[in-house]
Amino acid sequence: MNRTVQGIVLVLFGGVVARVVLADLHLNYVKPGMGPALLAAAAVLVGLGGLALWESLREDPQSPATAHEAHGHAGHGPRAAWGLLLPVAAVLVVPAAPLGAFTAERMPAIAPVASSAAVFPPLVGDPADLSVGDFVSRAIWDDGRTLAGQRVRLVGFVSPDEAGGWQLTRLGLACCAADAYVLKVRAEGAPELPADTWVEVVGVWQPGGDTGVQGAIPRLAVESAVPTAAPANPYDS
Amino acid sequence: MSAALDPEHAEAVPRGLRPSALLLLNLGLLAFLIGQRWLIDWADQPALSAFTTIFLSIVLQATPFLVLGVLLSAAITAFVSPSLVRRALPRRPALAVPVAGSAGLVLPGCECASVPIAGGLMARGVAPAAALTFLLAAPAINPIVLAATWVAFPNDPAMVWARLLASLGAAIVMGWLWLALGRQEWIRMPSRAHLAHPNPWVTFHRSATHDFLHAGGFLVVGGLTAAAINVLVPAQWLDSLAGQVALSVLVLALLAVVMCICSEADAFVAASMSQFNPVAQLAFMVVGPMVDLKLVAMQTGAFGRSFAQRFAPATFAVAVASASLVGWALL
Repeated sequence: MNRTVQGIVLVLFGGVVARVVLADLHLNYVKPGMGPALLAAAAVLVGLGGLALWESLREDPQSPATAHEAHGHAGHGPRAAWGLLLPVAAVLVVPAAPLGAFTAERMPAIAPVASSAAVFPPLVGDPADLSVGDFVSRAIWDDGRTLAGQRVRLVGFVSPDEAGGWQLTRLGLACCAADAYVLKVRAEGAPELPADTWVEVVGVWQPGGDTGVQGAIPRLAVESAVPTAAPANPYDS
Repeated sequence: MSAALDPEHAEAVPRGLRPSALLLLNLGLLAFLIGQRWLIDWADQPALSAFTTIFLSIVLQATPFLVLGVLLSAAITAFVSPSLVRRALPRRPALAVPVAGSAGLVLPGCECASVPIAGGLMARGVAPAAALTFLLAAPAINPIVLAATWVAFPNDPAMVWARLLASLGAAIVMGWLWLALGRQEWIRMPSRAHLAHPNPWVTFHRSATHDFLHAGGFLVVGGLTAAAINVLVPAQWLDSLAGQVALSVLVLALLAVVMCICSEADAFVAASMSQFNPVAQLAFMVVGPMVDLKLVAMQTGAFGRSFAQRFAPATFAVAVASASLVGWALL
């Protein structure tokens, strides 16, 4: 790999990273806070690559110094660098998509751990808007006390339930999509919907499930389940 | 930064027979444009979509950390002379070993950069044991790696301390082991060919470019492997391994050797394998920066085969023992 190609690879890779962030596609892969760091990294890479290109254009390929350099391998980049074109191709070819039902079905559900009941303020509104993670935490770690008798509105996607019907699902990120965790709510009395459909569900928490147990799946008596557009940030926040 | 130290650069094929890189790039782009339609259909399946998302998330999450590490490592290569580092070390090798190991705390460099740096230190008269300790410690315990570990394990700050202690401990033990048992003739002393240029800014640019291309390429390989494992291996199978503590430590330690992830990025991959117990995740992060397939190749290129075939297995054993001990005590 000569210096020209090194420059092209760096500019392509940096350019694709910038494109992903500017189109808000990075929300499919990492937490929103990574945006500025990714843009800065992209700028550095495009700069490094641009300099390498400029340097290679300025060099006269016929000059003895350049020939010697190429022969002495100083002008050759590492062969591993070709790998950087793979993510470039992946971004350009594969439509960006968040993880969905495929991942949710393969992993056990978890409930984000809360340290004490004091962190659960009373719900506001009817129906009250909650994140799926907040709902699951309240149901499992607060014995559902703040949820009892309250109508809530949750947004998530459909993933099939082994026991029949479906679960309202949202994935959460500890760091990036490679370490996603799964939040699930059993949607009881809901109409059948295909997997990976984004839905806005209004319903009431049902007592009688396990509480205080990691991995328990709370139940929701569904009043309405309306298909909706995927949210800008597909992961629980 | 020495290009000649790297076995990947030692290409024996005559220049006339090798297709030029630019030609390869153009052919690749052409094939890509023709195949695009077909690729889109092929990728429109849940498993492949999940694979791509996980692969890209690992690459994207690691990129800012990798860029920061490469810039700092290039700045040191360009602006800090190794003789300065040598003067900072005690004369007695037994003392120089822990000092060189601790220097890893303030001198960042990913493992790809630390091999040539260690070679340069040896060539300028630093005791091999101290240079080897630096080689093992610097990629594992530098501030960027520790910060990345802290970000990757937001609910488990003890992981940062455990990583620091286990890695530094293993590196120092390896240095002392080399003092006690190592033989000078096992090491082929590195030559001083390098990317250096009279203008330090040119050295900086060349080092940063070379390091990012190299490390980024291996990051892609690691991301592909991790994504494939995530999508292909049934979760239950990994879960059953994850349940057995001793076995899971060994499994993740071996995985670290195979996956070749840059130390700036490996914490995120370790965190993603949340079905494994923390000691096994720690072993993954302690072994990875010290022994992996690409490092063994680079060490073979830099110091010779008789060195690498002794040094790598010994480092693996010491790193696993250190991670188990520290993990058992702290996590």
